[in-house]
Amino acid sequence: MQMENKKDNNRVKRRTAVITVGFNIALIIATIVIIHIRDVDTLAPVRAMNVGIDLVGMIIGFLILLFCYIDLQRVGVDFRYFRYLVEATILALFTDIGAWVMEERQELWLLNRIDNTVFYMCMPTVVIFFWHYFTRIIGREDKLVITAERWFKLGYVLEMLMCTANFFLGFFFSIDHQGVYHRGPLYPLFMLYLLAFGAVVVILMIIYRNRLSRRQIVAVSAYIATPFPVIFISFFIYGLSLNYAVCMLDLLVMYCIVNIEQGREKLAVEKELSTAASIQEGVLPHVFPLFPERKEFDLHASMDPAKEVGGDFYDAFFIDDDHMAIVVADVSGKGIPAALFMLISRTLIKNRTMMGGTPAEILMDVNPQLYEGNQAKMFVTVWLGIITISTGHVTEANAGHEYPAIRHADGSFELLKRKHGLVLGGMKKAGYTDDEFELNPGDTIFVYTDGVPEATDARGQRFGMDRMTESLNKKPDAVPRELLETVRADVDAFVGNAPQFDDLTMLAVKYYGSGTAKQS
Amino acid sequence: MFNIIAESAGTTLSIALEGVLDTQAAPKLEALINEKIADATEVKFDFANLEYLTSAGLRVLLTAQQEMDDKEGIMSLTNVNDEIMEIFDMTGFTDVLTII
Repeated sequence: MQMENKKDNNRVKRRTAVITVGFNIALIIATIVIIHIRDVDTLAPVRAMNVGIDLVGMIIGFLILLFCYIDLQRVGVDFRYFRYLVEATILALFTDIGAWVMEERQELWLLNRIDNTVFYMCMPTVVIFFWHYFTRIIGREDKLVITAERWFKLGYVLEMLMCTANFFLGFFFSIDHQGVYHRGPLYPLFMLYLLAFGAVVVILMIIYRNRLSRRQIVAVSAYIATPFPVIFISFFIYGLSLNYAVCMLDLLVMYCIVNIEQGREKLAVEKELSTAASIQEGVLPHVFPLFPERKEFDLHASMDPAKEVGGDFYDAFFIDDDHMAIVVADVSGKGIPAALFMLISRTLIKNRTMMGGTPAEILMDVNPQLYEGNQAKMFVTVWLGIITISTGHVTEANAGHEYPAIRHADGSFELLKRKHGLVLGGMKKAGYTDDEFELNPGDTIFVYTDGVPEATDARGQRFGMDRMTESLNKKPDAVPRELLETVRADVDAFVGNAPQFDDLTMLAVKYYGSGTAKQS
Repeated sequence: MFNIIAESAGTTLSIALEGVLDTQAAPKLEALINEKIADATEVKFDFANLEYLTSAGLRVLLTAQQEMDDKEGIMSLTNVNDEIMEIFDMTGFTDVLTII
């Protein structure tokens, strides 16, 4: 299941890559074409300089996208809105080049008008992407942020509609039939959106300053502040429109500061997680057969964590030459906290079991130790059985764990429903009772965690106990390894591509009896 | 999929749950309880529309029960369906919770 999730992820990554690469190659080709529309020598020096700076801005944009893409592949950090922001800025730079190159070209007035319309539309688009990116840093839950977003979205729709209407009416700007650009009477109204946005971001940044690192504040401030002096200057010098080039430089700074910071944190966490996973894997006995010298039984177990580390565990060990203890357990919760609690539980249970006593006595002693200082309020469900190998006699106690399934020779698997005690670590005082049953030669016992019955398909249906026993009874006589593989395959087929959130653990013991040799 | 309807009347907190209380839903309930339980002397859960719960949900219930026990408050569950009842039996929660 995990592998399929990864496959799905890879598919998304590949699609993102194809779209990004395709779009940008098209843009590069279009830029080359558009620059050849006009002999650059005939451009006024200030415009030629502007075109050159825009080109540099575009190249920086492509490089940022490339780095984002590499990050996505390597670290899995997806700065979606940041990438959109860069992409929209590249488009703005492209249309800016187009506008200057086509300026005063009579025959291109229509293309020029389209180009300028796209250029105008880039501004609100950049604003909305920056908003998404920014609110993902400060958090999107607050009422203030939600209200502001509603207004910005409304403003965005209005701006886009107005830009479209402007194509025909020319109130923001117009390109006459000589190909000459004129600023329209409502141009300040168009810019009002940007001003309002800048003001709101500054206010939010002050209110939520504690949620931003100092570097993030610098990067966001630069992004908001630097375009304004540039816009101010270009107001007086016709032929200069460098605000998007400056924006691109700010984005580069933001990429370096904010993203590397986040990415590094994530990388560190991932490294720690994988170390934790290998520690956890190391403590579970996992080289089968565990006891190759014992011919009286066959045992197999598996634990598949839903995340890198899990809260499930199993254990099997000999107390003395004739008594083997079997533990299957499930810690509530996930990730590192569950893994820590799992390690403590396993150690306490094993040590206490080695000291002797019945399963109920063992659980009764371990419970208060797990309860003590249990800050995270975690608990663990445990099935503990002690098998007398010479006779097949089993004593078991159950601390809130799933019913084991047992199959007597020539019969089918059935749930062994006995009295249950409370989960371990949940309450200070909890009582447990011992139950007993016999394993006769040819009998198999199957113990598992809720990951099996609670495996869920895409429609939210659970695998359930009925499907589980059905699966067990497909080949009831199978050796433990094959039995586990059958159940696992059925669970996988049932859930399909649906993501799973629970660890899945299974353990089976087939008893051959002390006199019989192990069959293969 | 999961919904919480909470109502406070004086020091009685009523919480009705809808859907499936699983790993993803449990933090929402936990946050709500953390926020409201301090002022409550009685917590009433209505499980009429709760289909199922997993160990993550059990943990939240147990935490709430402990907290109510500590301050000698009352916590009760009503309209628990058979499937959830079986989980409570299996996990031993029937000994700890007050199910009406």
